[in-house]
Amino acid sequence: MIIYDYEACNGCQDCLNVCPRGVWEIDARNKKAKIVNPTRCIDCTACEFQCPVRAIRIERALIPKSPQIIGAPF
Amino acid sequence: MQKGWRYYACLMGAQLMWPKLAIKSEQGFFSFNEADSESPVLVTTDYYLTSFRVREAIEEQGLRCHLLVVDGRGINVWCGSRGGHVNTDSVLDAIEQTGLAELVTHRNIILPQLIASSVSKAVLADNGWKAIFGPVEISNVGDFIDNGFEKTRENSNVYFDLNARLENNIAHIVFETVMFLAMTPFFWLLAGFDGLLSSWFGYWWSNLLYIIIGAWTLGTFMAIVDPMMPTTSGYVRGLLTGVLALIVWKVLLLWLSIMSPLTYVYEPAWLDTSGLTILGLSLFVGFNWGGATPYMGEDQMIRDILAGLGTLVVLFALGVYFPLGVF
Ligand code: SF4
Ligand code: SF4
Repeated sequence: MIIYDYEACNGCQDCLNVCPRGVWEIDARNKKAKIVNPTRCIDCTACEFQCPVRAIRIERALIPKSPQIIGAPF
Repeated sequence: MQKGWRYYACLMGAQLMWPKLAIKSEQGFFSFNEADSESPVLVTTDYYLTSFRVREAIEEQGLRCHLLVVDGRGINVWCGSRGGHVNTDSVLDAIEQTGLAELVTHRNIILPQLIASSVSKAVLADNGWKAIFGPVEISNVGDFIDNGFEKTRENSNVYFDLNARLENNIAHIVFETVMFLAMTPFFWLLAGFDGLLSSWFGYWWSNLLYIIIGAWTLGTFMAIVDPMMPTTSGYVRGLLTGVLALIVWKVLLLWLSIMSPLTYVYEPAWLDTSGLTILGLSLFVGFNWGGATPYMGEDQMIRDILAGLGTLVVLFALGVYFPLGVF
């Protein structure tokens, strides 16, 4: 399960560049990362490990859960 | 490049049998195609098959570049990274030991993308090195360099094509064969006890060859139909394949019985010994398969293990209490 702090994201795109499953895209208008394929995530933690502002956390849940997004204005 | 015994031992999954059997290649700094101090530096780990394929790709694409082979304990990049066997220190150590700072004038290193779970770009930057994550497949690294270290979205994604799946299957086949042979003494010990379990050795020993061939067939089937599986779960894939195999097996027996009624082999109870064996075997192979695909999350793995163990216990109990078959 992905926990993503929308507000903290600085749009550096590191998560896009390391995710092997195409989970992330960049929202061109707001210059922030957004989750487009949450169910494809395999908890490899690459995005969590590389994000320079620690905006991503990956939690392993026994029962699948949809991502939690913190601080999004929508 | 010449493919020696090391290459084939890796293909056969030597490291699956025992981690100490992992075959390593030489670590250090290597230059290709007259690379100079301005040429890019690629990084990889010392698993023999990985570094062989990286060198092969560099030579095939005629890349003018350097290669830094870091200590990855002979494990492939992705497994090593997710398992924490290679980390930022491994890369920093290799940089220091090879004196990379003196060998090149720039401070860029191209890391394999799949090392990103454990090698920190930020810590490398603190040490004066700019890390760039390259494409997943080494075959795309030439384009990546030509495009000024930019990769397409597709080149960031992991794919598991038929070739890769069939190659993976070879390691599975070897691993399962060795496991079944290693389990034989256990059944032989059971034969020493009186009662129900004593008959198991006879069954195991007289059917071992069929069990091994069955595992090969099930695994190869799973490798081929992988994209058609409805979920990434190894449990579901094992169960579906098992039910299908059971139907094929029973229809075959029925057909044989109809064709030559004198040698009647069809058993009306579907979950008889052969039925239970097929289901159990398929679950086992499905597990192995699930774990080997790049699509499986670690939480999914735990769910699979719980569901699989539960089902195997039920099948086991059915086999013990209904030796002549149920349903
Ligand atoms: S790595 Fe972090 S900061 Fe960079 S785009 Fe992704 S979420 Fe935003
Ligand atoms: S944990 Fe891995 S698969 Fe999941 S979003 Fe992050 S990089 Fe992608």
